[in-house]
Amino acid sequence: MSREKADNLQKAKEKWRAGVLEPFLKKTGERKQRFYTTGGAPVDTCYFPGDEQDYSACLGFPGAYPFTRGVYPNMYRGRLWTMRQYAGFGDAEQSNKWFHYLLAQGQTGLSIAFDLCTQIGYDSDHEMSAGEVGRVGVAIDSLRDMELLFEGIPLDEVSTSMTINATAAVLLAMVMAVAEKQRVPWEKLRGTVQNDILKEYIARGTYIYPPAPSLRLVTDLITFCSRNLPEWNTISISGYHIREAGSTASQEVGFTIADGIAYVQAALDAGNDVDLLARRLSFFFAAHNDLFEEVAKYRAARRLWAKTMRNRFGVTHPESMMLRFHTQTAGCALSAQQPENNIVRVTVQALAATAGGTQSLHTNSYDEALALPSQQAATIALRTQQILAHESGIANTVDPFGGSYYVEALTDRIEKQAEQYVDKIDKLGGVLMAIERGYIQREIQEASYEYQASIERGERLIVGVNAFCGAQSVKPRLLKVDETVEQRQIERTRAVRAERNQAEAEGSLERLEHAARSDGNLMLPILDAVRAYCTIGEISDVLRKVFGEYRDRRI
Amino acid sequence: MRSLKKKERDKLIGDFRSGSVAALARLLSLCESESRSRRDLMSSIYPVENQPFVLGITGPAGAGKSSLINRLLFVFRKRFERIAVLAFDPTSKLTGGAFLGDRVRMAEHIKDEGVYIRSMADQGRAGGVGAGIHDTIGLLSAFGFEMVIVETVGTGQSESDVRLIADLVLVVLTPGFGDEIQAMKAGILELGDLFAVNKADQPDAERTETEIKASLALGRSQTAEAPPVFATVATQGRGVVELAGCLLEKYQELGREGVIDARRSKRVEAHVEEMLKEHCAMLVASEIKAFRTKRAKAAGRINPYRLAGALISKIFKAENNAKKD
Amino acid sequence: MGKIRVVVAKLGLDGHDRGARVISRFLRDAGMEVIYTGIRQSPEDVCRVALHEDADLIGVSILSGAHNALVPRLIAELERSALDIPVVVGGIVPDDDIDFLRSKGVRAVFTPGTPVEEIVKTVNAIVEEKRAG
Repeated sequence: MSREKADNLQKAKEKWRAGVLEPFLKKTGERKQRFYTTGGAPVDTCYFPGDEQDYSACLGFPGAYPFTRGVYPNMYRGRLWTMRQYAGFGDAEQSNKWFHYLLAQGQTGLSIAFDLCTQIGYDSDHEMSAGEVGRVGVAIDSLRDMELLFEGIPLDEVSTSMTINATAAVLLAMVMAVAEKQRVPWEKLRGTVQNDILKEYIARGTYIYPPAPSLRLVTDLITFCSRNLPEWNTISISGYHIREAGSTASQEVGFTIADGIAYVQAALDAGNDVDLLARRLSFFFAAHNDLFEEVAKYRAARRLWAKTMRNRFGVTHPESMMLRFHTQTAGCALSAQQPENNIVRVTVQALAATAGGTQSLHTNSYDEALALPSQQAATIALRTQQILAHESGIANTVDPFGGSYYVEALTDRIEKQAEQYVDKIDKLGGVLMAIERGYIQREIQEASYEYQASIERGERLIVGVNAFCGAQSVKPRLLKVDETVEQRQIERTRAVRAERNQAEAEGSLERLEHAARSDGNLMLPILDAVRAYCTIGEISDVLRKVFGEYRDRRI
Repeated sequence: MRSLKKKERDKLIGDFRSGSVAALARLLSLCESESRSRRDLMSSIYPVENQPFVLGITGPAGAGKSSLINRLLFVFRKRFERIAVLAFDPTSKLTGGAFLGDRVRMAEHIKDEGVYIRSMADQGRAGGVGAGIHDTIGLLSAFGFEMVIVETVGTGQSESDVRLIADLVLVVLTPGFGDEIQAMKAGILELGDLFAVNKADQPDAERTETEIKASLALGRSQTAEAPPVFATVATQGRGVVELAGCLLEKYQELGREGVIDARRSKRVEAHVEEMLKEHCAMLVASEIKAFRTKRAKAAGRINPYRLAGALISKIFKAENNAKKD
Repeated sequence: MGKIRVVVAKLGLDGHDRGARVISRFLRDAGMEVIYTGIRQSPEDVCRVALHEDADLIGVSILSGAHNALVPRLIAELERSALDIPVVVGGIVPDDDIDFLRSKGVRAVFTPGTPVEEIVKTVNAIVEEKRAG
């Protein structure tokens, strides 16, 4: 915009404000004294063309630096986002049946949830596992379980995303071993391991070892895959759990990018090639209720990451600057009261994710504040995505909110705030120090307390929760996890231990311990132990012995 | 809470004497409260023959006091059969509530029968520890603990009460607290028998250590020995064994010199003084209240000296009458 | 009248402590002394914390669905230790399980979205009733 035009616009705006808006407000007032986004950013009455924004520098073109508008030139006109519903419960046999059902319903990729024992490296018969087996995901103790999980599912035909972190190396080794049995070469394996241990210390809590050896496992996996599983996404740097822990949208972006910086640095220090590495990184964000703020968040994240990769790490290949991401709708935004309302919330959230250019999406089921999703609820969640994709028109053009004065203003704001968080963490000496000092955790806690307080004060209305609570809602039919799963799983694992070649198993664990004490890559020793049917608990115990266990000391 | 009937009191004391942790826990709550029955209840536990090693640990919030105690416990448990930890956190002035989270950092000891951890709020009292601290330590002594570790609030203000109740005081500081050390110096550096610079893996650790050593040497004569300063990393356990060893040595050394006994006598003195003050304050408050309700004369016609004198004799008369009853 | 002392506990392997922490702060704001245990506690651990802390009430936060297995174990452990401490539960708990937990002695169950005010009121009422004997 020319100087003159901008000045004229500014004058016209002032005139409108004084002559139209203010007299109107005097007469009628507004519903609230101030308006805020869900993330706490103040919102103006109306937004106008900015007079400073340089289109090419700030927005650019889709598929080109700084990728504000999207990582591909035509986005969903070429290929829709991957509809990837996170699933898994009970034992491997039950989850296998569920996967077959989802694939038959038109889902295009698998996303596997594991129970907490598997995530924390305890076998199903460990004392801390009691009551947890098969609860929040499928129970996997040994290669035997993984074989059952993929029964009839050729690993070269589906992509497999696994929400697994502290034990990611073990689970990936199990997938590789199953591939060997299915005669699928490793190069053909497509999928993702979350493998983001930093956010476990920050927000999610399923860590095992202290940060330094954990980071070693993360980079060992990255390094190994870059040579042997070229199609595998080796890390999914997750803001989702940071948001679920109560952060704002800007914090979600800032802390996730700070984590990303730490991983890239660690992988570079381990001798990886930055371009090879960058292309196998992916991200994972939440989709909350505030449609515009969420769209702006994804755009801001893409732009900030592209700048970070270019300016901080000096990458030159555009593909290495692209932030590709998976999205899940926000679990914390679901209410147990009037659960059907959640279908509408999820729709808005899914709209934000797709308008924001996500590469894949999980939509929550409306009954998830009550229990694990039932089949009926999970089907509606998938249908929601299909309706958006095929009926809403959202997939017809790239970045449909681009150019909205409001969304552009929010994008700038979130990027700036996120950048400030990254700077602050740099000043503290990096993410590990910031975690150690509790800085990140404290910031999130403050935000979550403030969010809840605003609900308590009645400033933030949640339909069916603190407003419009009247109507009795229908009780949904909930999924019940079969109570016999735990016993069955324990028996299977004990049988595996009894039937395997004990000398081979013990030998592999000894070699693993030896490798852990040296500084070699741990993927192959872990794979050997997996092939020998060592359990996840046994493998993790060896590493516990060498690395020690992390304890959260934050208050 | 209802005031306890005599029968309940006797049962509680009986259970306590027979080693019930639940009774100990209950009594510790009671000695924090202001109830009148508290005095009789607590009186019945004295005199206490067992005198545990009372270690006070103070220092600013965030210095890592709880994490350090967590590590020290592993070492001290090799020496002592039973250890109690009192971890103080501040009471919110606004709401009267408190968030007591120190034990999160000592969670590793939860299965250890020889360790008793109690989270305490300071009830808004300055001084770093809560009201009733003397009885609290009295109870723990009577229960048979060989060591009692008192972790102060760590507000960074004067926490001089810890000096009064502990046999030995460890001050925990961290690098990067330079300015705060300056501000607190007068108080905190006089407080410690030993010093730890925790988080010694952080930048500036050595400088902080040097600064503290210099400050400690400053106010001393050539012959007097300055308190030792240790570098520790509580989260990794670095320097903890050495620190624990030195604490025990110092305790024995001061014991031989009679310093510990002198400190314990002072503790009893302070306890008695506190009770006297408390009692007098209560009497004064009630007289002032009575005076206020009467408000007989205008200010210009009062001689405050004569009025105070009259009230004092009235108080003593009432006290004497009460004793005769 | 002593302050109400509440132990807020994360039972089991679930590491999501947002709810536990937010509720802890609101209970503190309501004038209570809140003792937080941290994550990954076994029922036996929580019982010992409550014993040491002379707790008036235990608030268990659990989102993993393991409540039916772990909470009754906590209550049994309290009974074994002769501790009469009421237990309330917060988390993702289906209606059928609420009935089950109540039958096992849980005094109240709070599902996501329960107003904090209601939680504070309930905690106050349960403790007052117990103290009145």
